Amino acid sequence: MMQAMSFEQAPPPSVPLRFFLTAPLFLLLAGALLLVDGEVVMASRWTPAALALTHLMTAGFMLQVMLGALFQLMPVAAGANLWRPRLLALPVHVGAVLGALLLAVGFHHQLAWAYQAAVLALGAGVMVFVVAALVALWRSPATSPSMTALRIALPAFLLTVVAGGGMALARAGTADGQWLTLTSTHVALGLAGWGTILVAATGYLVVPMFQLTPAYPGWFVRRFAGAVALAIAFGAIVARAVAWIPLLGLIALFAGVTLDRQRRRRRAKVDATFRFWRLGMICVLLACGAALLAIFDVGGNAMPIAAGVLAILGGFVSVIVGMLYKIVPFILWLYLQPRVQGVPPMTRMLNERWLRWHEGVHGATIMVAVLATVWWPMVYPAGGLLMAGAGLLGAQLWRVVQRARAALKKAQPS
Amino acid sequence: MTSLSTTMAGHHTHCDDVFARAEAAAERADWPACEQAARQFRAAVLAHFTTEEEAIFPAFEAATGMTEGPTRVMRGEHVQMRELMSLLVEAAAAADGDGFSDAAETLLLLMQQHNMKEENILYPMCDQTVAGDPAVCRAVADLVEEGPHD
Repeated sequence: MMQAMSFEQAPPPSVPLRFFLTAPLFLLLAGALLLVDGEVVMASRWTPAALALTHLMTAGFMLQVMLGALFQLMPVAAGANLWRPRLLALPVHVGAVLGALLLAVGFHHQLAWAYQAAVLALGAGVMVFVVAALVALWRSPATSPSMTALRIALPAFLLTVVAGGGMALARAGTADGQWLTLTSTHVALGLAGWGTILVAATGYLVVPMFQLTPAYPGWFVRRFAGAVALAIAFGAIVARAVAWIPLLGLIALFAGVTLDRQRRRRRAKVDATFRFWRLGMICVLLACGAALLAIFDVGGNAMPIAAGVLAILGGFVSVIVGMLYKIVPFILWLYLQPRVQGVPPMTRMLNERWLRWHEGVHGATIMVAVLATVWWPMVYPAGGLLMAGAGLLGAQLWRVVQRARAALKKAQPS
Repeated sequence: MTSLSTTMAGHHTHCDDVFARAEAAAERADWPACEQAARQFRAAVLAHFTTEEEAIFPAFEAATGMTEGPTRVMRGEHVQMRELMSLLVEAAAAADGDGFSDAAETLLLLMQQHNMKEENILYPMCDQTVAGDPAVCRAVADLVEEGPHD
């Protein structure tokens, strides 16, 4: 067992970065789709345009960052080394990018071949990743709460993709229509079983680390991931809308505990990452409230869309953006430091002004997108703002990478 | 009996607290207090490194035969942190707010991910292999006793 232990296997920066740099393109496409088809998106969560948009955000933006982050996190946090990460990242990245694009096309144009190709590409990419990740986790001796959470999140991810794949093939006419009854389970598995547990597993590590907060309480980290899995099983088996209430309660609890950790931080200095996380957790609480109202049919078609906007754009995108601004400069700094004399401090790799703009633009996007659920013409500013935010994020990440490249080139004259 | 893991992790928290005090003073632009806390922080972290590099790591390497494994990586990160801590103390002494914040941000992340690796992986392995070694016990006890006075 001990021979398997090594801390050195953080992958080369190109492995996580290929995912991180692709991710903003999906936000850009999502913004463009809002500009083109906004009225249809806001009519109902079931319209082709709304489904395409949702999957550009989740299977596109979110999945890219989650995959990149796991390539980095698993070896560093737990000695769970993925097998040949550079080689592995290629099919996973290509499969996930193509799969998400094809899925959006399939939904938007109702094309059978696009659904089928999406299932093939996304399914293959995800399968390769999940198998490699589960093997790495299984071989890791670490028993931290984050690792326990990942052991639940990865199978949930696989089930999300299986259920989603079945539904996509049913829409393409190549699978039984029964698959389409799995929608609520698919959403719960994807956003809670995979998404929330992954954010929690990461949060247990980075929330205390970034702001010197107390650790998440032991009673919480020991039970949270398991409880979420049980609540999803309960909702899926009972198959009535009210059966999802325990799951919403658990997600709200995570947001509440995280906000409480942040409130007790020991650092006097707050930064963009802290503010993005706080905004994300507040949006998660609001999303749980909106989902609860939707369960009781309050607010008509607008309420489920508002819950989705708050959860995905407000919750996940905020947390992810906050993390990227911290992690990308750090990964590059760690890589450069032993190779380059006088590495620029990681804080200087970021353009502080763009960062401030993005914070404002992102907050405004969430507000305007929520308003658009009740008054659809607001989709135009929402789409424009989403594209602006995607541009600021992409440009900032690109800038950091270019700075690192320049520093490396200066140190190694050819 | 308190394990090596618990004691060493507790000392990480102690170092974090002194770091937070230095940063809070920098935020208030109280440079004399900042410099004093930054020096205390560096002294505490260096004492921590000494305990690891001179007692725990050699015992671990002797017990497991792993000289090229985790301890080598940890020593390498200690070198990086030593450099950043020097920049931190220099910036505090020069009342250089930007310099302090640059060094503090990178140092904090480096230190936290370093501590995470030690607390999750290396210390539990040390608990199993060298916690009974009298020299290791003495060094760890000395570190904690000196901690609050550094």
